Amino acid sequence: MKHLFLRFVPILALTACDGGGEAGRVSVPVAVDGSGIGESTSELGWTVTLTAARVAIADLELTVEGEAHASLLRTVGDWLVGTAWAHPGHQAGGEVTGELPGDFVLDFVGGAGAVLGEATALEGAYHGANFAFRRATAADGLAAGDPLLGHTAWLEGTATKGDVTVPFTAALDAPDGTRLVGAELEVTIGGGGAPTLRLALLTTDPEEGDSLFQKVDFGAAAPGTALDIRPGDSLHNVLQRTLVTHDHWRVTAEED
Amino acid sequence: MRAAVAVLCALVCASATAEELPPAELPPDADVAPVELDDEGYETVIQADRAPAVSASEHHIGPRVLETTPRRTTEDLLRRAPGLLVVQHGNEGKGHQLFLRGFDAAHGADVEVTVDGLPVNEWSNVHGNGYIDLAFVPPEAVLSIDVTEAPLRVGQGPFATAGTLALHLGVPESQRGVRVAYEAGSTNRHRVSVVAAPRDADEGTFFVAEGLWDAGFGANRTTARGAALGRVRVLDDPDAGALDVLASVMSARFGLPGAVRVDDVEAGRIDLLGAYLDDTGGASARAVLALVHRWAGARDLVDTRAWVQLRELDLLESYTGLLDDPVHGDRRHQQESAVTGGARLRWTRRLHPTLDLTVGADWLTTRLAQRERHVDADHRPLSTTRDLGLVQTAAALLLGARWEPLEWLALDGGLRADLFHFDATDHAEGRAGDDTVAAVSPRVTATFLPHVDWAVHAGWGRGLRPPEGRAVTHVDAGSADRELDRYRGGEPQVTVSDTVEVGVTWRWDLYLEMSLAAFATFIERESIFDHVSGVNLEVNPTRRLGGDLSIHAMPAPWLDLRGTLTVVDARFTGSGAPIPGAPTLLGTVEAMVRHSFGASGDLRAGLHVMALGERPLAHGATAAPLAIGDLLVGYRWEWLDASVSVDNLFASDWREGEYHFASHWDRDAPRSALPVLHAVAGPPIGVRGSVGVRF
Repeated sequence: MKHLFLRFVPILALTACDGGGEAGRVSVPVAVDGSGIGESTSELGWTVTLTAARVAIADLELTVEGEAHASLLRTVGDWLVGTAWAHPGHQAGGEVTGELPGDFVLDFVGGAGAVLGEATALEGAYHGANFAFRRATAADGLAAGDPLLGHTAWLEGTATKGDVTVPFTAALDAPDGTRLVGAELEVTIGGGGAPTLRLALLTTDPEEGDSLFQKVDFGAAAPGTALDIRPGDSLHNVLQRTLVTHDHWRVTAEED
Repeated sequence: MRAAVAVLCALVCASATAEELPPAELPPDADVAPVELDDEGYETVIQADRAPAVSASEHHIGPRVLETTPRRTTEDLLRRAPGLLVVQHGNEGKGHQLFLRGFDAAHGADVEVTVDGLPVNEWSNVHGNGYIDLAFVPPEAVLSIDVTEAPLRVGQGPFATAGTLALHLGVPESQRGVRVAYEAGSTNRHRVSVVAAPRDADEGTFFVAEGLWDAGFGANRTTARGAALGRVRVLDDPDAGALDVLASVMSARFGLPGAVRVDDVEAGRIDLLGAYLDDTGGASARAVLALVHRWAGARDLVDTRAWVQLRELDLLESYTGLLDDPVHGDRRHQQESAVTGGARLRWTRRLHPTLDLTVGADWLTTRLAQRERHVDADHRPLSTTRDLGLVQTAAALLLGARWEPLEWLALDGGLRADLFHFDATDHAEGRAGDDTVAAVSPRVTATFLPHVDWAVHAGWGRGLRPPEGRAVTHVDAGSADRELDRYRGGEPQVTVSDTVEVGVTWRWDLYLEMSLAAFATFIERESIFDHVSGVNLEVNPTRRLGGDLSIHAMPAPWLDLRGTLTVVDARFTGSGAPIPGAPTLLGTVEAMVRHSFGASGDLRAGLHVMALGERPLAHGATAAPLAIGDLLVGYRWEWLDASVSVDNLFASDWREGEYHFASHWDRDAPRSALPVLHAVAGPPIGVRGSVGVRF
């Protein structure tokens, strides 16, 4: 308490005091983490291996839980209207105090390790991450004919069950305004720490063990043919809804 | 007969809570020392003007202080309360934000305010739970203010988690008559006031009216207001008691400039006195009718009050600009219409010369409709975020006692049980719900009187704040693909605070008074109101440790000098992080002069300086320290009364409110969701002159 008294003494001598100030800000690199892409086995018995996984997102936000009561979910400023929210993650309910605005294409196979940019974050203990899903455009630097153009995600790989192997491709479109809220993140920024944040798509949910392709029946493809999943297909909706849930996304911090 | 009167005095003085019985109504003090009769048979009666203090943090602000206080509104009078910070983050007309003892009470969530015993806090108000708006009380009608900083009296009701401000209405004898005054100010302010207080009536009988128009000191700060408030005794009978009628009507319209980003101010993109929008504003209206009945018997005092109130509030604001809706903007239109009926009963009985018992009951029912909509730049609704019909009832039973087992010891204590019931219909969601919550609040104090000039106090009390009505129809969070744009706060619960306090008061003759108190307040389930989102956020447990020092010197009969200092360390108990917004240091220095030159007139003057230390804000930001001074000089001669007030005497460019949140105002600049400092300008130096005539 003594320091409080010492701070009071000069106040009386000042009538219009400068002072106060912003919270400390830190620049934090954000990179693509490809370590979450691996073999995953669904409940239908298909073992899936991805050879391409690209997702178009925008406006990464980092959230602090602050002093929000841990057992309840809430979001400051969540009176947003007209926004379709994906299933809120368990890390939801924080205030946005870090951000990396912009449009990004995350290439988890061919571009793992690529740095998306420098996020600006207020010093604090971070608890979650949010971002928006969008449709990729030519402005993303994609070549004409790139299968991701006009879509949210492009997945390519094989699914094997027993002796059957089905090559597949999937072009997925998230509804306009879809946001992912509450991807797992636990990091303290500031106080001398200089982590790099790494954003990963997880083909297997580490909590539940579910596959990203949990309910996709690759047997729908005619024998000997590849399965091409497109918007409008029933398999598209199943896969798209799983892709945009927080269960398959994670942000980790790696100290430099 | 004298003995009966003396007993009745003791009864009333000991049992009355500061906020319930105006000074003028108390009968003479019981501790009357018989005076030797002179030849003409006169005797002297010492009359007490309020109940004995139960803590060192109770303060009485009387006419002597209020007369020398520069004021534009009644809320300016509240600034005389030690340790209380009053901030206007909108414009004159909107409810103020209050800070007390480490609490950011928002618009009144943690500070109970009463006017002649009638509760003012608006439970479940659309803008903020416990919203306080005193525009229906012209400042000329305020006789005194009793401040109780901590919930230590059993009569303190909901929202007193930090304390209670009890305003008593009346016109003191020195100002009675008919008075008409015109005030003009440097902000193009024009105010007419009328005070009618018959000289042959008691100070509780009066009529006050005002009409105001003020262009304001900055952009979008125009205010227009009309208010009338009157109280009259319609019955005064020794057997039937005294019956007063109190009535008030008020209507106001005002601009709301909102807060400006500090980085925009520093870059020269906007002036501190500017506003991003010129179409935001509000309207407020209220009508109150109350009956106050008091009856005193040989050993009993019964105080009964009943009231009805009509209330309308309309606020159109935008805190965040284009942050959430880059196309239409983030304007939020809040509307509320409410009808309230209430009653309060206090019955005090002297069971023994050293023991008084008080029982009481409170009831309040409000039927309200509130709506909040997202609107575009033309104020057309885009979506409805709240459309609530609510009937809510609060009921309380209380039992208190004052026991003076020894000449040097007084014990006050009691228990109150509060019950809150909601019946809510959410028209936006198409759901309805009802719920009942309750709380029991014990309060106990001990006062030791080791010497006639000393008092040592110790006390513990539990304060409470009811949840707001919309909590009853909250959405269940966690369901897949559910829109998260509705209030969610878990099950509605009463917020409870526990305060322990020790203190000492000392008086040296008539020249010097001092009080010193140390306190600790603990809240297990804290909730903090967030203006930007308009929801109450349930946060982790908190604790507030602090002290108050108040010194009052009267070196001469015409001179009062006061100094106060409040120090608080307010933190979350788990993380140790400071509670955002709560002032850590608040001090005041005041000098008041009242001198009569006899037939040549009366001088009054007051200099008030407030200093505020650096304050923690959200996310590690801090608000700047400041010191502000206000001056009033007035002269009264026969039928003429003139005064000059200078607001912000030191011409400071000061930020009356500082906040930390995200906003986006410039369409050409990239949007950022990071919170930044925002400020609401305090009034620059301004002069107001008033001339009045008395009949």
